[in-house]
This record gives sequence, C-alpha cells and structure tokens, in this order.
Amino acid sequence: MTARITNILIANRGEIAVRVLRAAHEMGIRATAVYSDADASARHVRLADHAVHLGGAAPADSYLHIARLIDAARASGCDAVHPGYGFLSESEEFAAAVTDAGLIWIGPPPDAIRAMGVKTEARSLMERAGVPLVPGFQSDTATDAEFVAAAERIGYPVMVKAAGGGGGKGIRIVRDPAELPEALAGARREAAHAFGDPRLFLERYIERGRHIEIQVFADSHGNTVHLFERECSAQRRHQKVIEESPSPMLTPETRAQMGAAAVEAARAVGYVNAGTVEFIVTPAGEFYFLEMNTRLQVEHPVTEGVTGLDLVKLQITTAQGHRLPFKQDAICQRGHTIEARLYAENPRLNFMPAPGTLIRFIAPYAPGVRVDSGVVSGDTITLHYDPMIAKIIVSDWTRTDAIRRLDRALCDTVILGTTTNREFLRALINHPAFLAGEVDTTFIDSHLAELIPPEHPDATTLDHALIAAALHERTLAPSSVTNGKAITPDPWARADHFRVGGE
Amino acid sequence: MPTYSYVYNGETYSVALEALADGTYRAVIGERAYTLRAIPNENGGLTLAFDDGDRATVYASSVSGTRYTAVNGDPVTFTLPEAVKRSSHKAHAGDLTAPMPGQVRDVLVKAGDSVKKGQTLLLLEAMKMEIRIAAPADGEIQSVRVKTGDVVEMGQMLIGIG
Repeated sequence: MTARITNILIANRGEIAVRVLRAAHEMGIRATAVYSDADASARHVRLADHAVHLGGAAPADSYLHIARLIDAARASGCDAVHPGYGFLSESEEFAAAVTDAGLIWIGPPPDAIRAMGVKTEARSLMERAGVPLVPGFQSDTATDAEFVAAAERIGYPVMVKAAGGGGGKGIRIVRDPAELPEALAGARREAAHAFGDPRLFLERYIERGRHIEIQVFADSHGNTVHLFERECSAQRRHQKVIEESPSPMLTPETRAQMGAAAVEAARAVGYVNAGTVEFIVTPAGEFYFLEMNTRLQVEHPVTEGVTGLDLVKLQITTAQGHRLPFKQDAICQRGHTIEARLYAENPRLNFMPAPGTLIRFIAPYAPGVRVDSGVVSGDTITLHYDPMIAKIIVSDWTRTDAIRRLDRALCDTVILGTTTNREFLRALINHPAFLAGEVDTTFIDSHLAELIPPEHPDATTLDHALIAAALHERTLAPSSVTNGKAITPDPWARADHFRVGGE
Repeated sequence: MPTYSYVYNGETYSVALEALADGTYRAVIGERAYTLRAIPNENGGLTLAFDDGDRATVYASSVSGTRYTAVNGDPVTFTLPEAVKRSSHKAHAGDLTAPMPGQVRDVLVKAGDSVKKGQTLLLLEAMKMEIRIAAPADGEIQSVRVKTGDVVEMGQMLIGIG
C-alpha cells in the first residue's frame, strides 16, 4: 500500500523545521509550519507555504501541545506530520494521535517508539535480541537504598540515567557512594521536569568510552539497513558538540559488527523509518548498546555527507509505503564528513546560554560546506528554546582535509550581537587529541582549560576592530564627521547587500 | 580630525579617523597610524586594505551603546564611554543577580529565611539548561524580587541577602 503525501505539517521549529520544509518542497509537497508566540516571524514560518499559530512561547503551550498540532494539521488540509527531533518526536502518544486522525506519521510505529522510549524496557528487549549491554540495574519500584546496593554490585563509577530520557538530560556520573543519594534526587527532578517521568536506572560507567552510533533505516516491507556510524565522542556534559563519520577509531570488523547489531536492534522492535542505535565503545573496541533514538537525529547530515542520501526525503518516501530504493551492499561510506554545532553560549562563562538578536549572521559558503540553520541576520535566539544557531557540516576526502575545511568554514562564520562557541569549536578541532582522533566522551570536560579561547584579541586585531567601529560610527552620525569638507563616500553605505553573483 | 572613543576590557581607546581626498582613510590609535582603503564586500562588510598590503575583513554594527565588530570572523565588542557610565552603578554586594536571561523555575526561599553558604535559593532555566543560584555566604534573605515563572534579563536583581 502506498499513499501520496501532498501536505506535511512540520511539528517543530528552528533549523530542523527548515530542513524538513526544504525536502518537502523539493518533492513538490506543501509545507505547513506551526509556531509559538516567540516564533511568529521565525525563518521556518517565513519559508512555509502555510503557517498555523499554536500558542504561547512555553513548549507545553505550543510545540508540545498535541491537540493543537492535530487541529492545525486538519485545518490546513495536511495528510502527514513530520515531528523533527526533540519536542514530540519520540512521543508514542503523539504518533498515535497523528495516526488516529487519519494522517501519515513520518516516523517509526508508536509501538517501536514505546519499546525504545523507556530505556529500561529497551535494555530488556535488547538483551533478548542478543545485543550487547552495559552491566546495569533497573527497577521501577526500587528505593534509594536498593539503588545504592545495586551500585555496589555493578561497581563504581556508575551512571544514573533517566528511564524516560535522552539527550543527556538527567544523567549523573557517580564515583563516590556517598554522592549517590543526592545524584538520584537531582536526576529524578531533572527527569520529571524534562520527560514527565522520574524513573531512573543505573549503568556501569565506561571509562574513556567513545560514543559511536549507527544510523538505521527500515521500510514497511521488512527491509532494514544500516547507514554506517557517526562518532559523537566530543561531548560537553553529555551534549554532542562535534559529530563525524567515519569514526577515526573503528576497525572495519567492529564497524561491520556494530552495523549488524544495530539492524538486529531495529528488527527486534519492528522498526520502520529512520532511527539511530547508540553504542558506547571501550578503548579496546568492545561495544555496548546505550539506547535507540526513534527519530531523525540532529547530526543526520553527517550520514548524508558520507552516503550521498537525503534522509528526510527517504523518511517521506518510506512513510508513503515505498520500499527502500537500495540494498545494504549498495550503500557505501565515502570520504569524511564532520558537523559542528554553533551555539549562542559563552564558553568563558561556563557555557552560559547567550540568547540575543543576531544583528549579523554570515554563514560560510565554500565547496564542501553545508550550513543548516533556522535563523538569518536579524533573527533572535530566544531563551525559550535551545541555543543552536547553526550546524556547519563539511565533507572532504580525508579526515584531516575535512577538519581543515571545517576550521576555514568557522573562520568565515561571522556573528554580531551575541556570544557564540565559534572560537571554542576552533580550539577543539585544532587540539592535538582531536586531530589524532583520540577524543573520548570525557575529553572536553577534562581539558576545558585548553579549549577556552583567549579572552582578548591580539593588538593588531584590536586596532582593526577599533577602525571597523570608527568606520561604522561615521554611518551613524554622518553630519558630525564631515567637518564641512568634501564628503568621502561612506564605505558602509556603499555596501550592496543584494549584489548577486559578485564582480 | 573626528575622534571616536570605545571602552574595551575597562580601557578606553580613541580612534582618530580622517577621510582623505583620494578616497583613503587615515586612522590614528595611540601612537600607531594606519593608511587604508575600505572596500565593501558582498555581505555588508568591509575589506580594510592597508597601504602595507595587509588585508582584514571586518564587520560592525551597533545596538545603543554597544558596538559589535568582527575581524576575520573573530568578535570584538566595545562599549561607548557614556554607556559604561550609565551602567556603572553596580548592584550591592548582597544582591544576587541573574547570570543569564531566563525563566525562574523555582524560588526556594522567602524574606527572613536564614541560609547557609552554598544553599540553593533559586532555580533559573534558559534554553533547556538549569542554573542554581546559591547563597555566596551564610546570611539572611532580605528580599525576593522574583517569583516562579518570571522571565528575567541578564543582571536583573533576584534576591537580596545580608
């Protein structure tokens, strides 16, 4: 059975809403956007064919409001819903509501979301499917004392994780048994707030582990393939900063074993559409299942870079009931792709979020460089949502070339109006450990001092900045700077923002 | 010659900038003098073309008393001297202010409460990140200026402690 999708409601915001919208347009499909009060003139709303206001800026009043989203889809004549990532993308309830409303859900079946969504249940399922698991403890009814006893059995350090979680929220690493009760309380509060589910579980913490995930894709005809790995070990407080493919540490044998394990994991839950199986890999190359993300990932462009596939278009055709247009052996991993997440945050102030208006945002434009962003110059990074400005994705033939290309792309990235992690990203990718492919998940947090860029520019840069400011000042008060003499044309006023093609 | 002053990292810098008849500029900063052309680029920035052949790509923009610039992408932000004066009446030593713009998630104390150093007084959230505002020393809460759900600006007074 195949159905034709003609109008997609994109139940998200920011860069991923723009990404999905673009794929829809390429396929000749209408794109319907939704927005909160804070996003009335956001880029995803501007680019859509049709836009529906949901409610207040708080996610609960807008992007998490299932009834309003379904109403918006119906009122707009949509026949499908794409959830993006975050928000309701892994909500079994939303997927079911979409399906019940007679709409096509561009994502996995609700049953698969449920099976993988509760991390403790996922562990049990994976154990039965023969997928390797990190030693751990799970119980929905355990008291803190039982958690403490379990941690003793597993062995410290242990990780406290949210059963309903993902994205690093609610995670605590505990090395000292005395700190476990407070970690449980803190994780519980964060998990209840972030996921509406305070349940926790424990896992042994793998020292010097690498975070390597496998992209999988399945159609509704029983075909399941993997699209190779993405290494996301460059994390700060469990939040990914840089993602790349191939992983610089995997051997071809381990890569093949992980791919096969990921396909088994997906098959075990009857998976359809795009998904990601996350593994932790020890320095010796042993890998253990962490969790499966039942949605498109932030870092999906990395896989697109090395496979040449468009995962969003593939999601749409798969949701229409089409077969995957290739078999496993037709897919190859070619060259090297790296993604950097550019955030409005201040690395010198403990990465404090730095919401604000992007007075100027100049994205890099060069061969092999892709920028996915939900904002342009003049747009605002609001405090209501995540602080991402853009994903900068580069591809080249070797890892070294790709890193150099990314560094140049970051050089060419200009942001005026707020503080960003741009210089931190450059320091990270130029660090000897990163260049050598030796970064594990603790690297950034334990080498932070080496990665925080110098606070002040060198003397020449400062002079150039002063000259730039003074030239700018002339445009603000031209009468006061002409001195009644012959007026030199103002260089900033001559700047032509709309020149096309360049001369 | 028109002169512009900017404050960076507590120091005031003056730039004397003169537009010469041949379309070039002369800039004097302290004892350093530069002669340059300013060539607009396609993105609304300028290439500063110095007479020694060196080049730099710069951008600049302003919001009230703040001047944002970027030199070859690296950001440098200045404040106008008059804007520094306006903001210089700082908060009292016992005032806890918001370290970031955000929303007050929870207020855990009320005026008159005795608190210990390090005790969490308030939870602030922005962009999915939770920040604990803790007591910097033992003391008594003098005032609580915000309530749960309030949206606060960076630097806004949250709690007075004495």
